[in-house]
Amino acid sequence: MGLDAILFQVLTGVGKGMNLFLLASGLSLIYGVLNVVNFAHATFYLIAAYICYTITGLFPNGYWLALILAPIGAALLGGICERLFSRLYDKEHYTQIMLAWGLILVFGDLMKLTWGSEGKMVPTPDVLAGGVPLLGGNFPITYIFVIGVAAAIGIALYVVLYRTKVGIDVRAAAADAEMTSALGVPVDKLYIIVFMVACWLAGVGGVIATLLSPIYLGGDLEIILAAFIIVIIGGMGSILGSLVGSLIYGVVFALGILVLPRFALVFLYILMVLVLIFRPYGLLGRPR
Amino acid sequence: MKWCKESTLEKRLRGRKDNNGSKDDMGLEATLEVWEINTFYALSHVLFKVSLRVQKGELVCLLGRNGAGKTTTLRSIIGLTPPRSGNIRFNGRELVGKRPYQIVRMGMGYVPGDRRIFPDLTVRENLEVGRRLRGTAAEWTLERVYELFPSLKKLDKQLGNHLSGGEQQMLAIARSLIGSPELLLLDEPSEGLAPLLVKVLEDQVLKLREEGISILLAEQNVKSALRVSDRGYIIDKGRIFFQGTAKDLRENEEARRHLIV
Repeated sequence: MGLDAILFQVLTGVGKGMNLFLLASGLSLIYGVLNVVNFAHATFYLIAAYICYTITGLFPNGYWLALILAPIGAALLGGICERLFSRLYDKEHYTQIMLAWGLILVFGDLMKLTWGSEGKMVPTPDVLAGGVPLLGGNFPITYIFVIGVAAAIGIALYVVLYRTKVGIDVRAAAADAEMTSALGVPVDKLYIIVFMVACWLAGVGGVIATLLSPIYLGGDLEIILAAFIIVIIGGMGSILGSLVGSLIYGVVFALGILVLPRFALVFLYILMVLVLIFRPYGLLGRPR
Repeated sequence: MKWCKESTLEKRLRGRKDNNGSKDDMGLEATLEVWEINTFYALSHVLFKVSLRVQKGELVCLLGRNGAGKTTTLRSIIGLTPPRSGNIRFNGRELVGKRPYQIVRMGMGYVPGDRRIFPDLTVRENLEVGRRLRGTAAEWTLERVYELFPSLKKLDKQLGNHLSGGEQQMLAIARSLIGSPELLLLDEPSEGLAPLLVKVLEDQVLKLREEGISILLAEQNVKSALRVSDRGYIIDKGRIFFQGTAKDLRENEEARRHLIV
């Protein structure tokens, strides 16, 4: 196997990883700020993907419309769910996971009722079809698009968190919510915003994921596991950590498939176990 | 003896309340009026009918030993530990039932005893959290705050957890000051500071008063507090036992008894 082929595979892994970053960053954000383990996070991702499927079926160039509308739908749904989670903010994590599990089941059945149980494919828009010659192969434009969108959103997220008043308030609330409220910041409103933004991120992730793979019921459970591995490796609560974790996940998985296809996931679990042993709070996380 | 003292105080306060809610005997306007609040932490009763008032531009201290109820009184006023009964009026408006952020937006500032600086935020970002846009004329800008605390300006980009105790205390005050409060609740600002820094702090507190900010200062450090205060209250075991001018408090035997650790 040539170096080109390996590099090519690494790039594919980066694409997959950047897609997952949109999901993992929201999961990490919700945990870091609200101290909620949103086990249902990937459900918003899957719902957005299904909405995207419907919209592309209705309009000839519907994909772009879906890229705008489906994440908004996920965010609105997230806003409603946040009101449910808000009753459990001061409770143990397992009660939050119970609620999340309930949401997964309810939304899972609703998705089954609405879209049926067979897998769905979203047609790739013409502009994104084909590939560019790269490293002796043909690198799909969809991957380049995914990397571009995720990178742009990652940068925007960074700018908002570090350069705006609301972002600084969010970081302050993550460290000390009570003091933040005692400085005049309506922290509960901030929580709704954070939850909705995180679900919007998941929604964008879901819509661009339709370019890389088909949509199927139960996909959310598979992908939430990936997201958890990512935030555990990168560090719960750290956005940069979820980026690093996502890239590691994507690349290790892609290379794993190349070497030992049946054990690709095993490498990631081993990595996760090593991180848990030697740095339990993740590569870029902080002990809480 | 103690009970007798308290009940006369209560009677006096009640008399005022009955006559006119927001003006006292001398006709001065009350910025803050706390009326018989009872505060609990879960099941334990912490404050017993605590009443006190701060007039416009006044610097009032709340003295007491560790665990006497000073912090709880301030937390009750700012809404972090709302009282279960009683009234708190700020510029004539009822505060009980309001959320902390609403109370802060009405013009109150809170500086907690443990400072509570956001460790991962820079000095400027810490200040940014406290910044609000209230269209008042006497608005505190970043420049004005840095003018009062010049050493903070040099630390602009430093992270909160890299500051010394004195610097953190200054930042904690600056952070609520930037919200342009009319009334500042200061919880044990001198705690853990070297004597020289306590002096510096006293000067800064006096400067704030000169700016027209009313201050309620909770302190264990009686000497320091009485150097700057106009009036004071003594709290012990969750009850107000004595109130008077700084001079009264310095000289009264019984007042001192409640302060001996």
